[in-house]
Amino acid sequence: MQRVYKVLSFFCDQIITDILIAELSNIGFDSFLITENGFEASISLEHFDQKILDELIDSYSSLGSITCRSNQIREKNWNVEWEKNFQPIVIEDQCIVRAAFHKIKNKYPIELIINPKMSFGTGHHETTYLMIQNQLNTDHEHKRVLDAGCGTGILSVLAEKLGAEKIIGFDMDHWAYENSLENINLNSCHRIEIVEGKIEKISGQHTFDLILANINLNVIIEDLNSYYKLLSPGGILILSGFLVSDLNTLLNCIEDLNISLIEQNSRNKWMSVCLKKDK
Amino acid sequence: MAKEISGYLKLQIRGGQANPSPPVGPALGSKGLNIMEFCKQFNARTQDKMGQVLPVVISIYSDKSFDFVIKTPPASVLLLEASKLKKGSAEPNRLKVGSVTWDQVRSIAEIKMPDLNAPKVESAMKMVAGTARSMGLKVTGRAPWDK
Repeated sequence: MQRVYKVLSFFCDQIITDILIAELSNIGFDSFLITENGFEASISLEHFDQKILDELIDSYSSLGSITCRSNQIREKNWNVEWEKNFQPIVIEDQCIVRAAFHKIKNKYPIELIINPKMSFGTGHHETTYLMIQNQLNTDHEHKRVLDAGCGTGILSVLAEKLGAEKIIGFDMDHWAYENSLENINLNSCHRIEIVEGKIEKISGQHTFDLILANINLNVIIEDLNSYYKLLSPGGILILSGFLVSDLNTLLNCIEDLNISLIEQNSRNKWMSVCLKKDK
Repeated sequence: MAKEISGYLKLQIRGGQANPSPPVGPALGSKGLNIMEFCKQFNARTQDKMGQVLPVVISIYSDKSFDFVIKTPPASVLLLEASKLKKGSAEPNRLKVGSVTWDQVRSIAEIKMPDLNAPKVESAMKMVAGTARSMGLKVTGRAPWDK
């Protein structure tokens, strides 16, 4: 379902801008664009309440002039400008990631076709690059793979190309869910299932031989016990999406689990780790 | 050679919660920046300030690459947290609905010092106290300069 947003443009001075932003952030607004004469805020239409907004403006109008104009916009792929200019990327001379519109001269053993459409994972970001590097060095043959926070579905597609028997990817973001399905089709994959939702949606009946999670430190720490439970004895867990400076925080969290660090890699300030569950 | 800057974007985003919905998506997307890369970087760098509104200034380079600086939260955000009020006063100049102590004002001023054009913490405290009063918050106790 396509989301509709209420966009509010405020015209006011800087003190009022800061105060209104503080107030709006307490009633569901999460980001603000500072403009020349004030700021812009938006919220999904179903969460917008005109009465609360009017009260808020009223309560600060004694501090100075506040004008608010509003309109509505439909969700669309705002990343299209970047996506139409992105360049193919080659990882370890083994794997090329390109969009459907790219024409390429050189052949590589593995080719991943990814149309990103505002989802994360093209190989350009260090963490996706690190995940792919790790996957290329990990045995996937006949393995069951879980791709947590699958984004564009790029890691799932690679897992199938590397011989995995069954892959389940999940993402809580609807755009990512739709985009993963599109990319699975583009790559003619048949052994990938995509689930929309969080890790709770993944059934506890089956375990996985390999779990991939390129998300962020907070989510990884929150879901670490679930990954551990879903991992078969001797299974591999590859994590990325966190900074080098956060490695110790993550390692402290695995101290009580029967899991050992077998490899760590970094690229610029980003990090990946490869962990193995004891048999 | 330093890269040529083609423009700036100023945003305020909750720590750890950047996502491509408006205004972030349309603002970055229209400049040809990779929205998802920004969100990933911003969220990683601000995960220890989860949910707190943080000003961020993005420098956009002519090759569509970017970097950004994260500043300290606005005084108003810190004041609302300190007073534990969900909302400021309905009539800031008349009705005082909450209060902060001078000690809290000092703590906020100390957090804000790197971003304020204030030579001493006392000057920063006066700015923070001014914002508090504008929001309808009473500053309680004795100011350090009232001996």
